[in-house]
Amino acid sequence: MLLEVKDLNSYYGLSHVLQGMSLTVYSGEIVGLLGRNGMGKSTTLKSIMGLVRPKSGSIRFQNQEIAGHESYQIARAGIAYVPEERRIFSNLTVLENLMMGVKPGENQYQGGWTLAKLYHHFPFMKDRSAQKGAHLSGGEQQMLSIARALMGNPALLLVDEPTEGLAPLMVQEVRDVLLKINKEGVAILIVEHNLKVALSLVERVYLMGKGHIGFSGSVQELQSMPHVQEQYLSI
Amino acid sequence: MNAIAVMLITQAVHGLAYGMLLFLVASGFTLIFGMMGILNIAHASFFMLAAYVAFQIMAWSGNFWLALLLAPLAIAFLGILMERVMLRRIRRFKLGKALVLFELMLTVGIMVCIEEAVKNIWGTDPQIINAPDALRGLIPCFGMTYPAYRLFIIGLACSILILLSIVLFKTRLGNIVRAAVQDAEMTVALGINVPLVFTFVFGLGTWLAGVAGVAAGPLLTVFPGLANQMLLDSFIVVALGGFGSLMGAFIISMFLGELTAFGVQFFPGYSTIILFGFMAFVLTFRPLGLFGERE
Amino acid sequence: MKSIRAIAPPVTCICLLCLYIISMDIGAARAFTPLQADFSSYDPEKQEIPSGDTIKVGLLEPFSGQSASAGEISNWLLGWVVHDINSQGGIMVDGKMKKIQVIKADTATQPVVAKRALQRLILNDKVDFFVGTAGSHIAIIGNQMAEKYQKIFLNYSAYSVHLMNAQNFNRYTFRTCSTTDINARGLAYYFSKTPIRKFYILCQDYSYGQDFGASMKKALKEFVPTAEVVGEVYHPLWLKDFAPYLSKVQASGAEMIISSDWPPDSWNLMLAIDQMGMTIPVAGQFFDDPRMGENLKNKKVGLGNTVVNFHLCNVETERNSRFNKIFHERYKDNAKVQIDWPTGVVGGVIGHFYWFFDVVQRAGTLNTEKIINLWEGDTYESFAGKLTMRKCDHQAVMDMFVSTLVSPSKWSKTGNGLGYQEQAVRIPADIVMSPCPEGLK
Repeated sequence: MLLEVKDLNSYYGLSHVLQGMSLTVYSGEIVGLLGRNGMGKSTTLKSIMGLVRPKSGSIRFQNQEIAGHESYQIARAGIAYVPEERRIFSNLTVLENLMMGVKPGENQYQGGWTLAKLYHHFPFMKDRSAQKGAHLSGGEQQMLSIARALMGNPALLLVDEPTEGLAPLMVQEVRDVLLKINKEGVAILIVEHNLKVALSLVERVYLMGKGHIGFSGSVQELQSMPHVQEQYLSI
Repeated sequence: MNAIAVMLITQAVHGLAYGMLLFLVASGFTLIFGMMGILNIAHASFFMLAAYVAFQIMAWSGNFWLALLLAPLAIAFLGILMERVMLRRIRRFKLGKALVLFELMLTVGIMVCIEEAVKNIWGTDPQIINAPDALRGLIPCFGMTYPAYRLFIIGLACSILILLSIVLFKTRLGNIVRAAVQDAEMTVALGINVPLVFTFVFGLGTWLAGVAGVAAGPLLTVFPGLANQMLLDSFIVVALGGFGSLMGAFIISMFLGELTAFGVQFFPGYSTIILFGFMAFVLTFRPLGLFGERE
Repeated sequence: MKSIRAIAPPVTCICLLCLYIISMDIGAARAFTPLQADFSSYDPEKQEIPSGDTIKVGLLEPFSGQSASAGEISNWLLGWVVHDINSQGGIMVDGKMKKIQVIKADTATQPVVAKRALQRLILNDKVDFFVGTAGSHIAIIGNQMAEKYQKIFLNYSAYSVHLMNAQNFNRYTFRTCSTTDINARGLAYYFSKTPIRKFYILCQDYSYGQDFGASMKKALKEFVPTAEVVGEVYHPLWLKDFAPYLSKVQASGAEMIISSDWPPDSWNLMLAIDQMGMTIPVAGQFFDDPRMGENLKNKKVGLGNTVVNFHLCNVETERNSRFNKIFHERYKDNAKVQIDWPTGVVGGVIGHFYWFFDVVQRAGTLNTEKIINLWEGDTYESFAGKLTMRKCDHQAVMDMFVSTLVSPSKWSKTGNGLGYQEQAVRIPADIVMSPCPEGLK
């Protein structure tokens, strides 16, 4: 077991966003976290990342308790975060953005993600390495955000709405990139709005109700239960 | 050289000297705000405190260079203490949006404490810091003479500016600082110990204010109202230049320095109106400041 | 019988002597005389607070903010006089010896704060009268509140002419210091006797500075028709950089700067003149600080600075010499005060306080009306000369004094540095005083 979230409770001010949230991610798999808006999907990722401090509950990563740890410690433990809206550093160049993902410490290139390898996967980054992040297109920024996360050689990638606002062709490309990364052994927990993309990508899904998991199962199981889809997904 | 050219160059150098001094203070102010979202009202008080500490070191040792070395370090130490002991603690409480207000109150409190402490320790009388003899004369340059101390200030600020640019734009530490100024949350999520970087930036910012304070000492008398004078100007610089923008701080500092100098020459009495009118205009159309990028 | 007759004359003599001594004692206890106390123990920060039934004096001054030092100085000067009078037993008022109690009120040099502080002084602390204050915009509030609550307000340090004009005058307010107008006339008259003709007016950009600039132009026109004002600039209060202004002065060919500036501006102006390699002298009220000289590199800077004041320590009168001597004894080795001689307004303001308490003593009562009636038209021999309280506008009438700075001067801190000329020039009251303002009731 790579990541085990158990009975997590998180708040934004007074609103109780996560109410006993639990989920599991195993090594090397892609898991989807789906649900309607405002159910707490992004908050789940942020809570795992330590950006939102959970009030109670446990988060175990590689058999170590990480709930309540500083965000940078969690990142250094091997979790990387690709946030909603990419959040690349627009002031920094492409290369500087990538280098920000490098974690200090000895086992830097453990997973084999090096600058050379990333340039191989994303050739445009090499050509435009000296350009400011602000000058990239939306899709390129998304790629950069993913590449930046990979520079830290994570065992688990948390990806939040990677295809939002992208052109169909670009959506396809992002999907392919995520699959490629997963093939290299990186487990992925993805929040995705586009059901078609999500189901073509993941092996297992969690559907979120208000602040907790309402359904979990394989993609086949979900497809065979239209009433569940109705309950948790349709608008 | 004809009289008009001499006048123009003289006033330009006057403006440069004050602009540079202002930039030293405002750069720390804007870095701290950009990175941590803290409007450190006490920033200018550190500037003043540095001048007093320098005065004290001068009184003991008579050595200006020692004061220039030690006083900013002492101020940076106080700044780091303030960040680690107070600001960091207050962030732990889940204050939500009210946090900004609490931080503001905290820095206002520190400002008042510094002002009162200064009054109790050194009294309310103006005190004078003497520049070393080597810097007290006039230096001929470009066919005219110019006060050595002002040239020294320009030189000192330029060296710091260059060093600062190298650190900020050519090193990993600088990248981290710039990244954190733009998006501290994302930076910490990449595994960077941002709280430590905060402390570094706070220390750097107060150190810069300290250098400016000591440097301003021989130019101005040191008195408890010194901080208020600087606070307004550096606030204008930061608001106009864009919160968090070092480039903006530099350009507006120079602009303000030159506007003051040439305003005195050509339109005395109107430079304040021009400055604040310009500020109102800029903030109406670009609330984030001329070079600001971040909400 | 014979023996009685023999001892009668000596007994009578002794009895008479006793009576005389007793009556002298009573006399001494009834009336204070200035400068009787032992001042070696006087410390403004450790003033004794008398208890019981006291005469309560409100001291309305800034004790915080940029002008806090002005408040501290006033507290020091008032404390001096109070220390003196209290150590002589106080003042006999309404049949009772009472000591004086000073109650400080902080204006922060802000009208709103000042108004609140003054209200507290009058309503809560129930002061008998109040004195002040730095800043004419604060003094005007003193005027208004004095009238509203019918309390006497002694203004010893707000110089704007307008404070005592028909619009702002009231019978509860008295001003003992000079005005921008009086200062300007004193300076202009002095310059008429010198060859200096090219002046540059450089004042602070608020009412006091503006008033002084305007008064100066008017007075120069009257006394020195050949004078030329080659430039006129008003700079912001607490200016950070004088250099751009001085470059302009330099280009104008002025022989003398005329400035209303007070510390820290006056200091910064002198430092900037030094740093710019200029030697132009400055005329005004506050360009005589003896601490200044030690910090100027070029020893020619400050020479020829011309000071105008309603009191100067180098005015040669017997009373002033005595005061100077006592002050010098007290402060010559005192690091905290940093001045050896009562320079600037020090002796003048102390004299004004003595005058006021003398009026109270002679009135023998705290009754406001009786004090007003006695003070109007009253004449008092102060350290530097005669002071008269003009009845029409409650403005003190006084001779003015002008001094240039020389080096070496016996009035400097070291005794051989920059300081006043040997003896001040006295300009009689009838030259410097302007007539009563029009429109007064």
